[in-house]
Amino acid sequence: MASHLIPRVLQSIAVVFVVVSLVFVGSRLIGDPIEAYSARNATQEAIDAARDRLGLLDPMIVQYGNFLWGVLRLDFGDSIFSEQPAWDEVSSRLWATVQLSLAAFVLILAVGVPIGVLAALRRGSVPDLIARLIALVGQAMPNFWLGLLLIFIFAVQLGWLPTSGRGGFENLIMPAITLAGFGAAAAMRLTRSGMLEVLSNDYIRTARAKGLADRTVILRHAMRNALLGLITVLGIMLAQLLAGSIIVEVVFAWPGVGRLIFRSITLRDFPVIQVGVLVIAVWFVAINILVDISYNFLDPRIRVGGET
Amino acid sequence: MLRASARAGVGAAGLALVGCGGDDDDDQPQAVAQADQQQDQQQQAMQQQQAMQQQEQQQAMQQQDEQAEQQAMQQEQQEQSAAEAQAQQQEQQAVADDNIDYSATAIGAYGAFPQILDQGSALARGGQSASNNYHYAAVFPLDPFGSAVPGGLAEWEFVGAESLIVTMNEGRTFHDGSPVTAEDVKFTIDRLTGKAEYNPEYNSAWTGELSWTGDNELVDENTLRIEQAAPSVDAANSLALGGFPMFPKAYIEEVGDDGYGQFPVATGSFKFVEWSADEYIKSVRNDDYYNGRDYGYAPRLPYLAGYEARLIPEIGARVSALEAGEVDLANSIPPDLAVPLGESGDYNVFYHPAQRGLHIKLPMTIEEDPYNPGQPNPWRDRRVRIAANLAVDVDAITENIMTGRENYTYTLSSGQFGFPEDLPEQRWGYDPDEARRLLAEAGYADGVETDLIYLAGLYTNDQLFMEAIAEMLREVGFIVNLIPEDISKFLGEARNKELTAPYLFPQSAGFTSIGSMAISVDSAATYEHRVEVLSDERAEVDRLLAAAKTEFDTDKRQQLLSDLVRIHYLEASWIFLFELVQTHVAASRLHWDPYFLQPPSVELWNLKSMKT
Repeated sequence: MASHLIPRVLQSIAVVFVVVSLVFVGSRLIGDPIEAYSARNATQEAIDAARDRLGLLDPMIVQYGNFLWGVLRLDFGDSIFSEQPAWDEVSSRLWATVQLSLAAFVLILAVGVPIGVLAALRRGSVPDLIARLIALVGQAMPNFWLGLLLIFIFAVQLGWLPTSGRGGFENLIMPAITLAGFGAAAAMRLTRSGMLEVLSNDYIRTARAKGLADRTVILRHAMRNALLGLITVLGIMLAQLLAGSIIVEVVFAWPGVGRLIFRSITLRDFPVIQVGVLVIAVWFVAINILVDISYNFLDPRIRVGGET
Repeated sequence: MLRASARAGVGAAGLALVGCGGDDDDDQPQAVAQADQQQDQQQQAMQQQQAMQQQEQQQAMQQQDEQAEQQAMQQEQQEQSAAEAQAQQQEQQAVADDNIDYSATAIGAYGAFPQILDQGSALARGGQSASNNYHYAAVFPLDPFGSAVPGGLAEWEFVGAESLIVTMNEGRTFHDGSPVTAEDVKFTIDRLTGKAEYNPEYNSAWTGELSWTGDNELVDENTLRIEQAAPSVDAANSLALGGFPMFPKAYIEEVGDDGYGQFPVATGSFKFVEWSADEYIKSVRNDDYYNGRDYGYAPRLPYLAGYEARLIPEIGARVSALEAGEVDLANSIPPDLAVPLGESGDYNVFYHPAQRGLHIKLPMTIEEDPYNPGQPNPWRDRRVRIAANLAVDVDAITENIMTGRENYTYTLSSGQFGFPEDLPEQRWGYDPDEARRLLAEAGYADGVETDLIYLAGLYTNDQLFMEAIAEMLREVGFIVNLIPEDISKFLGEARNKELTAPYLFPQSAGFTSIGSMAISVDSAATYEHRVEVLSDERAEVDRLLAAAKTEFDTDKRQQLLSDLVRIHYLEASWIFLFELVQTHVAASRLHWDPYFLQPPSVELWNLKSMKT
């Protein structure tokens, strides 16, 4: 396993390096942060001085070299706008987004997978129709709309939950449901189709013919195989939840990293954009490695050393 | 010239003395006579010099007397108007005071927060400063018209047009209890103008407003003399602007810029308690605030005991938080959401002018038509500019797209100092037929092709009203390509004078009267189009503005500005639109009667929570 993991990790580091380098170049192509940074009536001299102070007058290659040296030391410089270390800006909001993403992921697993299994087992029944309808609505409804709808019903009309902010557990419920909406619907449909495919296989018929209990057939034989296809998608979903929480964070005033990155892109706050993208890239890569490892446990045929 | 002649006289006497050096003894009487003559000449020259010096001193004293007299008159006028306003307010206040809950707190929701809480930094200015500026109070208070009056932290006195003397009032303290001294005022100005020794590279938002300041020196521990590098009639006003920050020198030197941006100590009517970036800013009433509730000017001791600003970026969520009772005040709510809430009777809707006179700047200083190289720029033809004004039905836009409370704008603001009262009689109305006729007469019967640029999403319903304006212009023959632009790109292009097309410009009129006019109408202004040639009228506008900048006589300055505004309007220099109105919605217990004619945001010190 180690012989597989080490090259995989090295490959992942290369991926992160390429992504961050692309972000470095891309963020400098989208515009000049100093126009937004300076006072409206600032003189040209003041603007030039600010560019000089932030190293933006250096040749691009020098800026890139300084940037890479900073990355190696985990020193990304200060945010152009808050004047706080860019790493602190991102890390102080990271836990809020991770918390939201994990809560949404738990909901996807807890709702999407069981209902998908149930719909597959009761194919064509009323529960199956309802599940498919919910899945369709869940995937078709934009999450900002779902968020506003939930706020209207559960906060304004019923008064059960707070509309926004990050206080206690009750603040987490609606943002997590909103963020999980699309993913749960997708997981439901994928689980259903995966289960239907597995259930039609010969080995399931054989298992049933052997007289195994339905529960055993479904849990040990069908679900385990159906989940193999799902797990890759779930891994991507978990990674996307972190990067895709911006809208939910805006609607629910959730003080997370998504909103910070969005604002930083608007303001061309290069240091924060770079840290944010680095964090997301590392997150994606880490999830992918975890998915690879999980294959090893779920399917003995897949040997991470290359054996089948 | 007199001084130069005197120097010439002394020089001539000196040359004569040198000339006698090599003479023989026989020539002695002649030499003595010459020496006597030279002495007489010297005395005459000295007498001339003394007379000239006396004359200069008398002139200077006379000038100072005149200025002092003018300032006294100005002050008297301000005091009179403020006293009237105060009497009126006291009358209103007496009725309502019994029902005010002085222990109540409130929570207000905002769409944007500053990145740091240092109000002096360019990073804390703009729309987001509404959630922070109540921690700060300027050196001088303001009357309802937004003009500075002596008092508050300090008194002022002009010494000619050369310097401003600031004398501190006793017993004024920062939020941490330390006294506000003349040294703090000096430090504040130095910090904001990049002269503070601890950090000359400070990213100040106030360099433009303080561009008049030269050297400043402490006369004694209570007195500061600020030299005027360029004589400015707005010198005192610039130290009184809303949100102008007074900095505690010792505290900032201790915690540094970063520390100050996270925990500001200032002199405002609310004291900062704590914040979480992107979440909330908590404050309490500054019970030691030096201007009591019966003070004649603003700001004053607040009614609310505490205030929490919450960041809720999404407008719908902000309204929902208000409806759910989580917040008491939802700031910056579009009229289509605010009006129904107000009509329900459960909420109070606060309207106030946003200090922004919207207008479309026309590229009339550029000679060539950017669409037809070699052809004259159509916008240089007054008939085309008038046609554009006649084409836009501003009243229909304000009635149907905005709140219906917006005033038509003839300049930056109709409440502005120097606004000619007869101008509304000469307003360009809505007359599309006349617009078509004028275009045809100007030789553009086939239309005028143009881009029309605006900053997308910056102001309420901007996309809607810009679409409407573009369509109205198209109706009379303009071929309009509407371009929504990102703020950073727009500001860069405007600053570099790369824009050649008409563009929407929302200049704040809350800046000092001359300052905001300078930004908006001066051909050399930062955000003006590229300047190639000036019409006679534009040159006259520039001349009047330059004269007004240094005219200390109130009446004369008013006349200059009045002439300027009239020429500028009647030349149809812009497409004149309307003054934006801000809309906020509050719980029914919160009441607000604006003190300022044009408040920049809800005046928190003036917000009352009534007993229920």
